[in-house]
Amino acid sequence: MEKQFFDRQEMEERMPDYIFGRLSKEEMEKFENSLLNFPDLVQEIEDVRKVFSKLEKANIDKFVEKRTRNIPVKVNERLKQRRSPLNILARPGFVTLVAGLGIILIAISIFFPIARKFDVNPTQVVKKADTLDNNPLIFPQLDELANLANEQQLDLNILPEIVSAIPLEQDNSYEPAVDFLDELVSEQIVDFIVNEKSVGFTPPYFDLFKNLDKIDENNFQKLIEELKDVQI
Amino acid sequence: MLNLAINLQTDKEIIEEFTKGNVEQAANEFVKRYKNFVYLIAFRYVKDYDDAEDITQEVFIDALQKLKFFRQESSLKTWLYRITVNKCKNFLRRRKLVTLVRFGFPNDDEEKGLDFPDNSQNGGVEKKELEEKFLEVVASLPEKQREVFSLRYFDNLTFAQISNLLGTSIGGLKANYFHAVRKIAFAMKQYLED
Repeated sequence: MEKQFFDRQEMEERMPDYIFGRLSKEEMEKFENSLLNFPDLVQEIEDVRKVFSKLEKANIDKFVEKRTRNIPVKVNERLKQRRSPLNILARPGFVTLVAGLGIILIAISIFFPIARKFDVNPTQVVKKADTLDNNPLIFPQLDELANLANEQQLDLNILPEIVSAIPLEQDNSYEPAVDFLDELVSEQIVDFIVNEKSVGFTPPYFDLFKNLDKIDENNFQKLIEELKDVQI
Repeated sequence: MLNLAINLQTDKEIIEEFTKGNVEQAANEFVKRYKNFVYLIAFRYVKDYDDAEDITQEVFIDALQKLKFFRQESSLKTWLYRITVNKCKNFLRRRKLVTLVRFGFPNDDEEKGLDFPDNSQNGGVEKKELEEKFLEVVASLPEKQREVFSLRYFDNLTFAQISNLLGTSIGGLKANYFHAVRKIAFAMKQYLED
């Protein structure tokens, strides 16, 4: 069964609509009947009514109308401006387009010099490496080194100096290959030594390697001490 | 000249006319019909008459550019309300950022927005028009109270429509409406007595 009176919360929720005449007839009657239970609300309704009676809604509309009367014209003008082919900057998407193109140009201007500097084209690197593998004479200095070692019974102590003295191809555009060439040169020198291409040249440490298990602890420690001072 | 005779009475007619290509006439009718609605929302948020006018223009320019894509799933009023609130919130964010960059963190008084003249000190010299004062009092209310009051009092929306716009339960809206009315009455009573 429906309640005969509104409670406090229901009264407060309906009070503004009651004051502004927006309650249905049934609700208004129930509201007025319930008012007897809330004398404080009667006073409040009176105060609110007094204030809002001074505020004619029509006056507020007039006040706002005065402030907005030029808006249709201004909007129209701005729309015309935007539609004008000369006003390309105002077109939607134009700024985005320009910004996008700018980013692409900046990316290109940064990327290409770097790419050129490192020249990371894998095809070129493989081709160069193939050439080196198939044509060891590309380093004539190695032959010279071999001859020198043959003739002079090369002392291993000066080997690092000789290696560092070998002039590598001066080609700045091929910097990534420098490491590769270094490695290749080292491999070929070691290969040359290990395979004893150098006649009569037997590096002394080879015997040492073969006989490491026969060295006693003291000698081994001495050997390590000596190796500490070796500069490669 | 013939276009001027067209009387666009409903939102549907405005959209149809706009889609047909009668852009200027439809746009004009559209702006005329909703300019006060948009302006008042903007003023309630930004609390400045000139900024509110700029935002109103921006809202209509945006809306007119998107009008042919409007799917009519909601009313034009609801759609405009959302565009306006978004614009105002973006504007306030920008303004806060600019204030922050220029002057450091704003204090609480500045964040409250409106700066009502103190009539007791100025002897009423700067006394504003009643309507203007009323709008400022409304604008100074907390957002939910301000919006529910304005949408109900000025725009005559039902609680169901307001609930749809603000995403608040009808019970919550009614409570907010009551508190808004009470606060406005209190502030205006004081102003009138001064």
